[in-house]
Amino acid sequence: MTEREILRSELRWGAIVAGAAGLIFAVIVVTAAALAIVPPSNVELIDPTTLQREGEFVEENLGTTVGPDGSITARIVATQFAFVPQCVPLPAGKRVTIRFATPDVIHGLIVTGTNVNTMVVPGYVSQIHTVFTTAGDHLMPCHEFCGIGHSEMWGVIRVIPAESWHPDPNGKVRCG
Amino acid sequence: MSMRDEPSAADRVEDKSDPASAAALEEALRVVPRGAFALAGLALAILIACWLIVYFLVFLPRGAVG
Repeated sequence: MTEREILRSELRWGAIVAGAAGLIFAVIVVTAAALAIVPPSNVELIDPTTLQREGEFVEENLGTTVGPDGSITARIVATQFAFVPQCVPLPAGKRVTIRFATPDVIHGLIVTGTNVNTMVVPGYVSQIHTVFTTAGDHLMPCHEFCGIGHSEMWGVIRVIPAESWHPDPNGKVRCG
Repeated sequence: MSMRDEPSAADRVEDKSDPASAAALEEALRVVPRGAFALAGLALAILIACWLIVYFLVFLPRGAVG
């Protein structure tokens, strides 16, 4: 092979690899535009020192609430070393909002079998909108090392079929 | 650096103690890159196919998160 042939081969391979990367990029852009997929981008401040004494994340306000307009919101506190409440019921096939906050250190979570995956950072509210498609219990472990009890920190998202979704008169829904 | 249309440095060096003849080396150097491209191309095709399968059959059916 001549040096020119070697250079030509390398440039050709570079073009093929660039084409492959371009294909992946194009698929992401087109599907994101067509299906309105955007990364969670909520930026909302909250005082972690008063989190559990006042405001949205007081104990009686945690869990799942159906608003007067039918909107479904779950509020969860991630704390060393538990999610409060540990079990959160949500309906299948309906758009839900899940809001997380923490009073102590950085946590993270993933809801298995779904694309829900976020960090929970002191001082900020992490918010996710999604539609759960599969009924059943979805394990929600903490995936950011948060201390000695990190491996014991997990919760459950209980996705309930639409026909079994019955909020109480106050709009609250609880597991079992 | 100018790119000259001449044999690569590997082609120009002739090791007298090497039992392989210059002609055999030239033949190997002519064929080997084709195999390397085929192998790399196959690996890249498998990688892209796996990515597309996971994206369309796992990621998208799980629903959008925003």
